[in-house]
Amino acid sequence: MLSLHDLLAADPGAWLRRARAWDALSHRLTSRVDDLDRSGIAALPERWAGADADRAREGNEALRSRLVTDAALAARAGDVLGTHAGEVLTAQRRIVQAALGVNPLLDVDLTTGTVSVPATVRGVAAAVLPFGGPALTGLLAAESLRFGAAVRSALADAARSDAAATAALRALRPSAAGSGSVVAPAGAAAARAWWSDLPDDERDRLTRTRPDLVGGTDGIPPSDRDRANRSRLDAERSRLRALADQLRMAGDEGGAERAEADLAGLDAVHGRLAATDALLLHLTRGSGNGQVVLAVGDPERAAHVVTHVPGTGAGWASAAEDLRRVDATRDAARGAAPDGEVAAVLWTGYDAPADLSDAIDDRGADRAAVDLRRFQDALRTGHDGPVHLTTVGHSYGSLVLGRAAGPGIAADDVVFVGSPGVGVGHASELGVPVDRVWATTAANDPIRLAAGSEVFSTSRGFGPAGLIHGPDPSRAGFGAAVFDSAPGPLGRALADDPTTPTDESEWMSAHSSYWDPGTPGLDTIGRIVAGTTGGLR
Amino acid sequence: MVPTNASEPSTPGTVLVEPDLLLTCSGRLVEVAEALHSDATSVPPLPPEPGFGSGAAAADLEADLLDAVRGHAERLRGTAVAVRAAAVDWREADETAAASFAG
Repeated sequence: MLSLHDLLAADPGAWLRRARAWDALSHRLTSRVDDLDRSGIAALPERWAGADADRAREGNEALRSRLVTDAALAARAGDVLGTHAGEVLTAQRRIVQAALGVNPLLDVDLTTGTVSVPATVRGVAAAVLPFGGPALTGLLAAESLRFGAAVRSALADAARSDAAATAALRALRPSAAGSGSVVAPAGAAAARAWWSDLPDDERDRLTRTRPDLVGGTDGIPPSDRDRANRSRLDAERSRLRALADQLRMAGDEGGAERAEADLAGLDAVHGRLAATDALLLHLTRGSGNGQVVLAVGDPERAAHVVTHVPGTGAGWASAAEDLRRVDATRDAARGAAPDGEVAAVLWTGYDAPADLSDAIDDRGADRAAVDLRRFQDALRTGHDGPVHLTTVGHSYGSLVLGRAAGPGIAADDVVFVGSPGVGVGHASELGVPVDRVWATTAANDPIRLAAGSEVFSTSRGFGPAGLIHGPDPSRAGFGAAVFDSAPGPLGRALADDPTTPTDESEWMSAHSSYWDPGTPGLDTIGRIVAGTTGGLR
Repeated sequence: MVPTNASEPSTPGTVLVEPDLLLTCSGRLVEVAEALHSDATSVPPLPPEPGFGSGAAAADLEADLLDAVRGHAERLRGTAVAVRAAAVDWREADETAAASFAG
């Protein structure tokens, strides 16, 4: 069932480019047929005679015939896809035009396809006009009806076009073999074995037809996942560019800005991949802010590998800042262990809470914990020899890490930073030795003082030191090795200090300042990652 | 050794070989095979769009098509090898026969 979000998020421009690529392929194949036919190019010598010559001519004639057929097929497929792209583009434009036709007093939300009365308009109407309220209600009803009908009609047309194009493309397929039902076996080790047993051409085929499967399966080697995910990255950036333009054209400025923020994050990922030895291990829209997993360095061979799990608000839009923190962690670890190679992974492989109110819910952490455990398993089982693994969870990410570590996780050290609680009452309840559990919270980090946390903790039966998701791991009673961080800015500064990466004008800036260069907390995290923790406890 | 060249159309049972032309042809067949292989890599991958069945159908069709083009390239390369072998074999056989007349 095609949704409004799917329709608006689609990138028919990319389909048109693909149609043109198929058309160009068709012309190239026709040109090869001409080469095979043309004397003096690649045609067999006319006067060559004998049984061998007869067989060679039969083979070439069969090949020529197949090339002619495939050239026609590519051209026909290009026509089908090009027509489909045009029809979907038309459906998108009709929705944009319908949005532009809505009375300017009303707001249109293209994410939900609804029309509403802004609070300011409602207030002014009620105060100034005697029948302002009812008049607005009538206007809203009429416009909702008209806009809703336009959306439904455009969606129905796009769905019909999709069904027709799907049937036509399926009918054109030269063979019935497909990859739609392929499922990787559960577990990183099993997935790795399955992948390595596949023939090369099948691996290539899956990378092209199922980049979601190849790019998102823990256990498949990082280089193969990277190849699949880079094609998804290009497609998503192209789509977000088109989406932002479309939303802005329709007057949905907020939606356009969100799309542009996501695009800026993915541009940062793209730049990172182009600049260094980085691997894109996962990329998907998910059902939140967008998921991305990127490794800097070689996670299969580095002596030390750290996984950074960010918290509330993490997603595509935050990727640039999250990558900066990953780099800072890696640099600190390399400084602590100059002889040991260090790889660092940004793991936003889950739908992080969008804001603080969403972060009250711990169910997202439970779901994410399963994925994080599987990812860590893949790091361990896929590594070339022994490896020292560290996982660092920041903010809500520390809850994800705590939930993942509860039943046991492939990590030698776990580090909780600026934590609202990690879902267990004591370090001994985690599946790692107590002396490998580390925690820090900056003195001015409001996470430890957040109003209401005591209420939640009391209702859940935690002690007086409890935070929203359990006892504070950076308090002595939890049992972790607590290390110092810089206190961070106190409250909200008047202006940002340009000499630090942290924006001090943000009210929770102390919650974000753990990765500022030269701070004691970052140095300690570097030593933990590098396995040089002598004297820290 | 001058290859046997026919100046008139061949008849059934007649064997006519022009090894130099065959070697040239073999080289050109290799070039066309390489061009075909390059054609198969000229179409960049495009991940299927969520919500649209046509995306998966297009990806499957494209994979089939490119598999087929790669297969054509391999078959043509095989033909080029066989044409070269035919030329080389004929020359060797001819030289062996010529040597047997030397005594």
